[in-house]
Amino acid sequence: MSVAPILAFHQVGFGYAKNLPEAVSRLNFTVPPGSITAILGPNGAGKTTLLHLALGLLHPRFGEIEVGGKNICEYRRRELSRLIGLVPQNEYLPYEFSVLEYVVLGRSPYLGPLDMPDPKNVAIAREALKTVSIAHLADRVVHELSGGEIQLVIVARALAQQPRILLLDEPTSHLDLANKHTILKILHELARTGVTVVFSTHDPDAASEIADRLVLMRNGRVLDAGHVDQVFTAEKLTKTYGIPVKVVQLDGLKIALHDEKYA
Amino acid sequence: MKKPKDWQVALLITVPLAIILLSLFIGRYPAPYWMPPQLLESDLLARSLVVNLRLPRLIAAFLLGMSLSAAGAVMQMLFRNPLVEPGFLGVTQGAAFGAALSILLIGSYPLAVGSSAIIFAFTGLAFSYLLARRIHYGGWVLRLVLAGIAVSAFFSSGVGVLKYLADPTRQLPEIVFWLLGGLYAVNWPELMSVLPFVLAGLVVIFLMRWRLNVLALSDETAFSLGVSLERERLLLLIASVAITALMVSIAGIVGWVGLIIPHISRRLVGPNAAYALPAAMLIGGTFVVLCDDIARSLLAGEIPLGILTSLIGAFLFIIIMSGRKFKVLR
Repeated sequence: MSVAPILAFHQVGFGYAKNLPEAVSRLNFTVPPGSITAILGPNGAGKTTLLHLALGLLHPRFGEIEVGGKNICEYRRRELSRLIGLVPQNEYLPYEFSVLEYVVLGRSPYLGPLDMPDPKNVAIAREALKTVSIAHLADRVVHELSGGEIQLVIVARALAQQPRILLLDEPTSHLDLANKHTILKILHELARTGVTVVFSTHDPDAASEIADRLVLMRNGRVLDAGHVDQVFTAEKLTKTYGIPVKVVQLDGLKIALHDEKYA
Repeated sequence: MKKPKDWQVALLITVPLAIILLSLFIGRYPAPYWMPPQLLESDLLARSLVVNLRLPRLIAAFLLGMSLSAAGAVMQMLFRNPLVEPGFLGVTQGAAFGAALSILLIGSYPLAVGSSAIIFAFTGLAFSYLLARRIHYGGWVLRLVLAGIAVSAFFSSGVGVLKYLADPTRQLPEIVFWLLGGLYAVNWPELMSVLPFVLAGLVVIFLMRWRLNVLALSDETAFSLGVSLERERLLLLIASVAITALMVSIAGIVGWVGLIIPHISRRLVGPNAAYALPAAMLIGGTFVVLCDDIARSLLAGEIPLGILTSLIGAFLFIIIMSGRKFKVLR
């Protein structure tokens, strides 16, 4: 590895309470800048916990997390939020914000608690909407959009943050085929502009479609991490999901299938 | 960005000013309902009445409406719940208990009742907060809401006990009248004793009005946007509770304003708190001034303010919630 990683986990362990077993332990992997990393594993493997650790929302009980070569604990809150953006699994909007009003909230890392967004901030938010090709939805109410459009709005909100690392928690899990493709395509393009993308998914195909690197997780442990060609194998996926999996090639794309016939 | 239209801004500023000005001349002197302004020059009593009684009472009414509406708007954002009102964390019932206790033990001197109300209002909040920390399930919103319900129930049963113990000819009517709310006892010294603190709280809330939008998002999102969740929430919560408790201590329990006005405001200018919050303050202030005008001038005797705000507020609420016309303005 010649390039210094932008995000690195060193033997990271975390538990939600002292009397509970660790939710994740001995997490070990690195993410090169500008790459796309998929955190792949079954439901409950600890993917969201891992993302929350990378975000700084949770503090590791053991080990160390490095962001841009510096321990994550050394960053101030605002500083870190300019580096790392998050697209959560569920975004709950209690009131009927317009798309633009919501996306402008992504500018808060650059605004003090008493500041209001100025036209420059609004322009950056509009730019973020353009990046995900939904500039025409700016004045619509978020609640009235379709699931796929809402996901794009949330991505735009995170992009308005102008982060160097974008974390996405199950960005495609409730989307149909076309919308899933739209999101993956946008992530692919973002990585080409230099944004490091880290997303969790339980869907091996979403991972193989765009990821350069994979982190396989099961029961709070990293089973394997590395380049997608080395990690996306029948043997390793079988271990990850606990059922027989075979990997087939289709038009140059690797697809994971459940390897069992129904009687 | 969706901004309130110019005519909305103009109305939100001129209407309150006009109503405050007109309200100075509304009352039962020299004749019911209206006092001609030129009387101020010739009638000493009229001048003294306007300056020493009506003016502080008007300011108190506007401040009361502003405070309850601002606190309600803040809490509805912080708790991501359109049904919370500013007193729900044990504050209102705590104040009621404090006032009733003072009437029973010390007597109904405004200063004693007010101080006791404010002490127990904060006691209610402290109990709710400490109890919430001992609840081990749910997010912080659910924990505080549950704790607030429990503490409010506790104090409201206490108020029941005090009412039962009170002398039914002397103390009980005082307690009931205080619980129904009213500004009849407000004068300059009393107003001045709370004014600086209430203004400070309102300024804090006003300055953080855009930030409220970020704080209304889920915890993980707000965190990812660089918000110091605990610190900023606590600051806004304390400011809101403080202005509510201070105003309750001089006005008694004036219900529904903190719940309804933020809704009306959102309907008019949209949910963006940068506009909805100041609008709620202005609408709330005006609303309470109008209700207080009716309270003090409609009948020869004072009508409790809390009855009017609930009655008119509920009526307005039904009209606005069921009206389709308002949908367009969102």
